[in-house]
Amino acid sequence: MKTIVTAITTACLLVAGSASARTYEIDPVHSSIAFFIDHIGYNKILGVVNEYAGEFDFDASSPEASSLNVKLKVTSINTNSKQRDGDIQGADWFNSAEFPEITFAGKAFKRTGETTGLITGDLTIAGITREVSLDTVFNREGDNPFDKTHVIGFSARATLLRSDFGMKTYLPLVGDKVDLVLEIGGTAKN
Amino acid sequence: MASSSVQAVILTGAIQAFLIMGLASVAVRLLKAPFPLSALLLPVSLLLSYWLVYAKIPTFPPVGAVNKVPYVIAASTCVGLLCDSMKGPRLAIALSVSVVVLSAVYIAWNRLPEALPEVALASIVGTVFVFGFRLRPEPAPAQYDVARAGAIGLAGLAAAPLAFLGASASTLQLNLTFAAATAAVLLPWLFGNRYRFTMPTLLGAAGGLFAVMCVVVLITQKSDPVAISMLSVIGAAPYVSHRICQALGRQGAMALHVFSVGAACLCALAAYGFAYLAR
Repeated sequence: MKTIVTAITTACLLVAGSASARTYEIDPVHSSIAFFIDHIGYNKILGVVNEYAGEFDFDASSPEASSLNVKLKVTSINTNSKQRDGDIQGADWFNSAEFPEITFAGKAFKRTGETTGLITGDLTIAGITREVSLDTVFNREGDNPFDKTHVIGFSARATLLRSDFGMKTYLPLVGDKVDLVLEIGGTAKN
Repeated sequence: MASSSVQAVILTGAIQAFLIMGLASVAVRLLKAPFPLSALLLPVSLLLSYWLVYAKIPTFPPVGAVNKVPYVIAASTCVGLLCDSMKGPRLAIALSVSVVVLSAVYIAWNRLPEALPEVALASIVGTVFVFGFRLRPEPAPAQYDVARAGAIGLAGLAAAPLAFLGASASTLQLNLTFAAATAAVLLPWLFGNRYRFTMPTLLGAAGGLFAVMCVVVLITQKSDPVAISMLSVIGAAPYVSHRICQALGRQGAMALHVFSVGAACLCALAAYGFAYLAR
């Protein structure tokens, strides 16, 4: 009898543990935030954000209750050209002197498939806020085999127009459409 | 293909500004208005140039330095109209300085207080720039006001390459468009002496151009501030030209304009030379 009670209790705890919401901190060492933008129709330029921080709440059994807040440091954007990286900090582009951070605040989280979802939130660039939706894939959740911390991974894609954020310089030579690529690893805080 | 497209965009905007302001200037010339409407043509040219380049009227309150520029131009023009209506020389001086200082502070607001020394220097340069245009001999020779207005357009033209080298292609386009608009505004007034350069022109156009360059210098911060500051004396070109004409015994509007343009070009060349040597 005692064995049966113990077994049932353990099973309940296991189920509860795997379904509980956790708060995760974005792990910048194992995450990537990048964008592609058209260069006169010849090819796309890749830009990478090197410094960012954020956290999110996620429960696989109830993804609609998630939250997400991210801050990206504008001066850490790298497009593999020192001159271009300096130019895009100016008032015509990201205007880092006045707005040193890009922020994203998730507002709505909708499951669209077994492992896919849509995160809609407010993206603020150079002081202008627009609603952007991230097509998101939930990759995996589990324990890191090296340090046993609880980790989670997502992939997300989005497309936006830079002119919506006031960046109209060199249109249409430099594309208006910007493709966002996010590979996010999170480490549980609790 | 790339450079021809950029040039096409700039040329299209300049032609549009030229045609629109040319028609407006002819209309103002033909109108017998009780108020010197000609004084508003240059500030309107600068606002039109902004609209042609950025294709928008920024929402109020404006977010970001670039979006503050049209509001600075409009407010400065209104202050200029107030000066004209009150007709006090000390008031005009005080308001001119205030417009310059407040423009620099407003444009650089998000960088304060760390940018206070830069704002202070910009205010001094801006005051020199605006007060250069205030120089007016008595009696003023024919077409002197046209020469002063032309000097504002030349200042915009001269500053354009320095802004472009300072990573602001939009300011290059804005300044070139404004220069084209200024030329169109002044062409119908090259005969006779009815063009009026009053406080709305001074504060709205010269003061507005100062605000445009404040964005480049105080926010983008990649231009050579010394080279741009050297352009601040362009406002004195018509006065210098007048003195040269007097010294040479030359009279007539043609001589005034030629020497004024020459003086402005020398000023620009000095600024470019400094920028080249300092790079």
